[in-house]
Amino acid sequence: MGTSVSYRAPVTPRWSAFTTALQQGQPVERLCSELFNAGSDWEEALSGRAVAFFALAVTTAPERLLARIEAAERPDRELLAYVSEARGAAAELEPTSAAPIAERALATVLVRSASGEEASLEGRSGAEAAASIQNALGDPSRALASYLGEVLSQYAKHVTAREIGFLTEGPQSIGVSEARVLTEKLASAAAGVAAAAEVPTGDPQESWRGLLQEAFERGRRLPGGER
Amino acid sequence: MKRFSVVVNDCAAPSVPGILYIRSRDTEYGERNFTANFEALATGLPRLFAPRELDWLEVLSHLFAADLVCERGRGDTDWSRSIDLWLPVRDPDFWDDHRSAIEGVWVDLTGDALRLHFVEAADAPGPPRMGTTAFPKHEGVALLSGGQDSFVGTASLLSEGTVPLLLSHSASGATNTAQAAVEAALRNFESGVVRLKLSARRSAQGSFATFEASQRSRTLLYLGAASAVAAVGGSGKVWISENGVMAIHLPLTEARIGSLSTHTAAPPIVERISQLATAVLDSEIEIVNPLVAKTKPEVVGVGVDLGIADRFVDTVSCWKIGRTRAHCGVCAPCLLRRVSCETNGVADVTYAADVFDDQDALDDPVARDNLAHFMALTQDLLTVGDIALPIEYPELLNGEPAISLTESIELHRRWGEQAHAVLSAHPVPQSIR
Repeated sequence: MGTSVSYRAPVTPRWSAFTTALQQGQPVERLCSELFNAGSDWEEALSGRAVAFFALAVTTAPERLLARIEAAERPDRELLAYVSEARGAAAELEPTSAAPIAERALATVLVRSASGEEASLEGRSGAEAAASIQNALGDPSRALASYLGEVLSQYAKHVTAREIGFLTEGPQSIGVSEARVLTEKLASAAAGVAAAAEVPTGDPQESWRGLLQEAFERGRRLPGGER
Repeated sequence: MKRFSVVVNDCAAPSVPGILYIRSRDTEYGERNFTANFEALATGLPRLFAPRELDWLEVLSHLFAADLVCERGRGDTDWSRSIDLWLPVRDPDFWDDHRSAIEGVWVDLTGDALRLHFVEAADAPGPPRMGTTAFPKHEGVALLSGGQDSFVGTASLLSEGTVPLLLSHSASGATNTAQAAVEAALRNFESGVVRLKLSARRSAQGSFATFEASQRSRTLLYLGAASAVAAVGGSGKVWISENGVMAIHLPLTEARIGSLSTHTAAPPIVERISQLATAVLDSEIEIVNPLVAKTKPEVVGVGVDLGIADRFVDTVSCWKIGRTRAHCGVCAPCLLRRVSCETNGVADVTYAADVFDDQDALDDPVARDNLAHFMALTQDLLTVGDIALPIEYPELLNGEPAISLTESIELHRRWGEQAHAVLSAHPVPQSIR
């Protein structure tokens, strides 16, 4: 927390379609389709080279991060440093508006991977965290799919959370708690779009743009038909 | 993303369209539009600032000026900026060696891309003059903003017998008034305490082609100037007092990630600034936040214990205080302040809008959004489980290296309970929960 700002969706027909569907309580599938349809600027930003670099940071984490974590007294400190290094390198590569989403997705994937299935990252030894990361991200294709899903999830959270205040207005209003639940559902649905992706092996910097754009395209489709 | 080219003091730069100009002195091409005054910092030091130290102060102030002159877009993909900045220095080769580190701190603070181009200064000014009276004996430099946290942090130091030099960044009238009031209150602990005033601002309203109010990089100038005084003065120590919840800066929601939230006192960034200052000034600089393990209600509680709570009405917290002279009652710092004062039952300022008890206050979409987002974080901190919390909020790792992840989680859980207790006692938060 600190001094901060948030901006509701731009007043454009596509974003209005999303916010109206949100306020009307439309099914999650419909909402998911609208948020992918509205975010063409985000699609362009998220498919850029800097975000691809963050994807590379995920797939190479087992070789570049594990030794550091194994030797660390506090693995969280190494994760933080790794994310910070990726932020700096990505900024050198290409300025992008998508960096906060891409960085948060990287941090989330790393923390989730280091935590494992049934433990919190806090209190984990370096060796335990390293083993969990190897297990979660050791397969590059699986690691890349995981990152793609998290980028889409973070994008959905960003554009939905900014409407929380809006959702508490008017006769169809819902409370903050319900709006948070809705945000999580949409994030989960957006991440699910990545599950159907055919993720290639090889350098993610080569495949990222196509993967992301294909995911947005798939996300726009309503179940059972084309948009 | 918005892209800018900025040139300082008309130094040599390629001819590109749409250049924004910063002039910290009159040049043959135009009048000064930015004022940076370091005389107060130099007046009691044991020696003059060396050329490299002067470069440091000027580089930081010009970075701050660039932050002010490059106007962000209003949200979505237009918020971020990419800035090319040409600036004169006395020793371009030296600064080229530190370019990457400076750009890295800038990225951390502002979320913007920055490319620095150091150019040899044609006619660099000499150092500010020293006064005849040395600064009193001190053990470091403490930032004093005029807010509650720096007031409590400094009062705590003084109560323990540690005497710092105080450093304020002069700003609006309301902030200057608060800084003077806090300084007077601190004299009750140590009558000889001295406050230095750093001045860095646009010369007049309208003197910049465009203006950006977010000022995400300000802490770099503020900490950097304090580091220069600490280096030349020989103490090598700087205190920045900020409660842990504000310092670690979890976003209220995912809508406020990146530089949409400030990172003023984030421990990893403070550490990087300390490393940068140490390298540039060739003097070990330690920057400490004595309040990083406390929530803001706990900080206010320390103020109660120190007997200074009756002076909290003189302090300022509001993001808009420079423009309105009153606490808006709507911004996140106002909400946090109100929770903290109510938790401790201490007198508070009057807020322009009462988003806790006046339903009409939520007719303002910004007020509604801020309260809803504030409540969202509070609820998450109370309901999200231990395994999921650092996954949902990886920013919890930002307590490092000052506090561990475990301490960071405990800190935020405590704050969640403190905020929830206050919010639950008021009708408007209850109506939208």
